[in-house]
Amino acid sequence: MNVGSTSTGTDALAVLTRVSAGYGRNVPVVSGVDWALRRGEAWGVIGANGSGKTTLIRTLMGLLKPSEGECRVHRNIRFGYVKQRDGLHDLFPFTVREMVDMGRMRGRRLPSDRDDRMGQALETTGLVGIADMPVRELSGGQKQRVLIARALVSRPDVLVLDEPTNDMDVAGEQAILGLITRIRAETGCAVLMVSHLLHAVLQISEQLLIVHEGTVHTHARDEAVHKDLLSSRYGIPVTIRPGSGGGLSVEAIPGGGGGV
Amino acid sequence: MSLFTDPFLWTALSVGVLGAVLCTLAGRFVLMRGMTFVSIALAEAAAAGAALGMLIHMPPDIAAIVAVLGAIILFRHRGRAGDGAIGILYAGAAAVTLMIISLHPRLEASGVDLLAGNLLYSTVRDGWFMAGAFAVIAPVHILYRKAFLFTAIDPDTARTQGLPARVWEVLLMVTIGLSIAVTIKLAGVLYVFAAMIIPVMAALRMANRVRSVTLVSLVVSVGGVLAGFSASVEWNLPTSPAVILAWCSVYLIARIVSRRSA
Repeated sequence: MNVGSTSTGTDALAVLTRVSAGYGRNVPVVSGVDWALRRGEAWGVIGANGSGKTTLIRTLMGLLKPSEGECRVHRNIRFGYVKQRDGLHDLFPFTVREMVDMGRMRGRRLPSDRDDRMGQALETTGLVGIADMPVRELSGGQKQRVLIARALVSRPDVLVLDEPTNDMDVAGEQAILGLITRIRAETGCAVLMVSHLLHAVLQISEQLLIVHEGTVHTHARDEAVHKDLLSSRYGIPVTIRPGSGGGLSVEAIPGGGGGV
Repeated sequence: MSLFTDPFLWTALSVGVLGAVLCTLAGRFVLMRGMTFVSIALAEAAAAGAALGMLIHMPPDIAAIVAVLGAIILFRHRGRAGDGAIGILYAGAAAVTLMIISLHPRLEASGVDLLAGNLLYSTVRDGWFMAGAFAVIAPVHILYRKAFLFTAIDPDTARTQGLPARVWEVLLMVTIGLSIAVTIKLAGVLYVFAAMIIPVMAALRMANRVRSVTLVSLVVSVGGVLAGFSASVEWNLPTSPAVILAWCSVYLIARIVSRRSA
């Protein structure tokens, strides 16, 4: 198994060694993962729907136990998890402030500088003016900022974002990506961003984890932007074109066997 | 007969109010967690436990608590059966209750109605038992509300922050189960289920803050008990259905008013 909580011995915050993980007793969703996350790094995780991206980050954060291999996480590491916003609770009228405040709840004790952290997180994410509004009344982009602010309150060593720009228009997407870049520059936290949008991932990260049919491959950013590599990883022929916000987008070649 | 002068009515009213408040406090988390179906299955399990307890001469309150805790363990290990397991428990427990009562008419003759409830049969001992249960469970729900809220709406994120979310989840389930179990013998399945869901749903129509939802739901809960009891005494109506209809009326009014103001 093993999710270790220990010193990793190097500057690594987390080290995965031959990790396999999945749900129940079925075939593992990801297997044989070797990977290390170091302080301040920015990684993108891409792959087709259902390829195992979310399984990988859940294993890293200790939400899933590896069925094989070892996941060693530095003892004092703090994860700031930004889940997919469509899973956000909207029956009860939680305000922005109440939702963000949940981020300061820790296992052992509450941070003493609560108000500072809250104020900084709201300020960084541009939520000060709407801090007393119910979250359920906000736009998709504002809800995403709330989740990011909640993660920031804990002053995370690693910011983990699961599809943060899904279903956003170009302006909203660029605002969120700009915010993530700014947070990383200001706080020095490592960033791990899961997305099926190549251009979004490339804008944030220097290195990529490409998840394909349960296997995980690491690539430097520039190395990954190659249509043959991406075609093999997505399992269909793709091409790379200039995309929104000056980035790149990966598109299926018409008649090539599917869409991305 | 007057609600405010007869001592036995005071006992019944106290049991009704304390049971309703306990169930409404638990109901917030039931709705947050999306466990409405689980809550009625737990109520049926408690009723089956109480019926079985009376059959074997065991205190029905204790038997209901044992049955609910057993059901909670079953839910946590239901694996692939998912909601199907909850449905089986619900139907099976209801069948056990009906079977025991139909085969042993003395239970029915003693005034026990585990489906519709019969609060007017509350004894002073029932009142003290309910007060003791209230003194234990309600402070837990109030003191640990933030941890319960977080683990109810987003257990994964709570765990990534180092919160023992599974421990909180189990504690929450146990306190919800206990709230149901201690109320079921006198109030019945319908009353318990309604007290968990309807006052909170009505409050969600009237309040725009989570804290206000809690306060308003408790006001609706207690107000519904008082109104239902008064109607029951005044017009000789069955008590639990009268209280439930009072809650439903408040919900419908809140729904109409909130739609118009929107």
